[in-house]
Amino acid sequence: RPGTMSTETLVKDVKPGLKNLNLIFIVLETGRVTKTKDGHEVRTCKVADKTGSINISVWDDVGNLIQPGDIIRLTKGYASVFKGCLTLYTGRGGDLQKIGEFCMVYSEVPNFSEPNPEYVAQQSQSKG
Amino acid sequence: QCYRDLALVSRDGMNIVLNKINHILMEKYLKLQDTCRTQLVWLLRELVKSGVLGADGVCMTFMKQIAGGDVTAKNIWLAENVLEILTEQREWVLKSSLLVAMAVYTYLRLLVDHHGTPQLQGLRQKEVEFCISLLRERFMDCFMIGRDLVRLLQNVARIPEFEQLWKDILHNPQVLSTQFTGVLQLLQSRTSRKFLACRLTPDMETKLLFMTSRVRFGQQKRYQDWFQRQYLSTPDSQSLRCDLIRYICGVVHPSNEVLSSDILPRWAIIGWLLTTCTSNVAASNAKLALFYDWLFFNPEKDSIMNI
Repeated sequence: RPGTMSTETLVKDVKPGLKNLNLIFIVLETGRVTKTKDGHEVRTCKVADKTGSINISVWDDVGNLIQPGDIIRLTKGYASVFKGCLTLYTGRGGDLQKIGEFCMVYSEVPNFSEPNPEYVAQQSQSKG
Repeated sequence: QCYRDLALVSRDGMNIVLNKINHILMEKYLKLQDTCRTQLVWLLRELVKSGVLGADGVCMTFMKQIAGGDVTAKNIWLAENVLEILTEQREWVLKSSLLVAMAVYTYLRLLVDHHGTPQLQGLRQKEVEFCISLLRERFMDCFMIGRDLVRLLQNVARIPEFEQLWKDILHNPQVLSTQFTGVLQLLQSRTSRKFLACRLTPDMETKLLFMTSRVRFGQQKRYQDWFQRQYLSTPDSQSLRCDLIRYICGVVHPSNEVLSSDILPRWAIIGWLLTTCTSNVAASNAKLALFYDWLFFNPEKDSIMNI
């Protein structure tokens, strides 16, 4: 897209409250599906780039399609704290696109979604 | 109709078309829908029938998409259809020594996987007849394959037609060709990378090359698990390990820079391939595959990187 500069954020620079995040990561693990009160399916996936790993929550169809090894570009994501853990989400108007698989180097540590007592104290709200 | 128009319009011997087909096959074959794959095979047949220069290259690119250790319907479909073209157009195939050698290498390797159902058994019989006829009619073209031809022939030695061929190879080599002095001559000839590589699909190569050039030692577990889940998770797929090991030994020769870094070493990948094998037969074939170049190493002709 001419005229647009979308710079990618690195996992290590994701902080609660940030919006309009563009990230490229590789999926390490996909968790089990849980049902939300309003009938949606949510899955937590562990994803990573060369700077570390983080969890992302994905809803419904997308959650069923994502596979470990997928290389994905997140656009217009945001980060929030859920149960004391930093988590990524796809925001309004954003999406997840698979751009490849396997061929991306990553570091699993540090895991930025480990429970962080500072975040629990902040009591961030998560957007639905 | 479209093909006829295309052929009439072409001023470059269909070169652009051939390059495009090769590119689609190498980069996108996995993503193509069934109707597209059928069309491509049809196009290949037309190119071959018209005797277009370079159609042999497209044939070889097609053969490369047939995955070893994979007996799913789509893969078998491709194996059957390409074989049908090669069998139908035998006279054309005979014009290219390289195509003869590659076709024999391919189908000699693949037929090992084809057993257990009437359909697969039927395919195997056609593959046997195809390979035997090329081996007997153009032995010296097949000789070009080198020592891995012996390895492949060993794997099929119990099949009656190959049992007979082995008797000739061992006791009567001149029957096959006046230039053939015996199995030792074949074993002393190193197999070129192009044969070792032709039995890996582009996707397998991409992933293995990534592992041996970018992944650091200690970080390989997930990549191994993903590769294993995609290509090595069924009992039928264990035969692929030999092809992967021959590829690592003969094709992947890391630079000194990579060798002295902490990038995943070849022995670690091979260790993984050997220790996760779930079939005894495949494991022993894989171990032999590992030593093939070592057994016949000639310091003057062979590269130490192969062993």
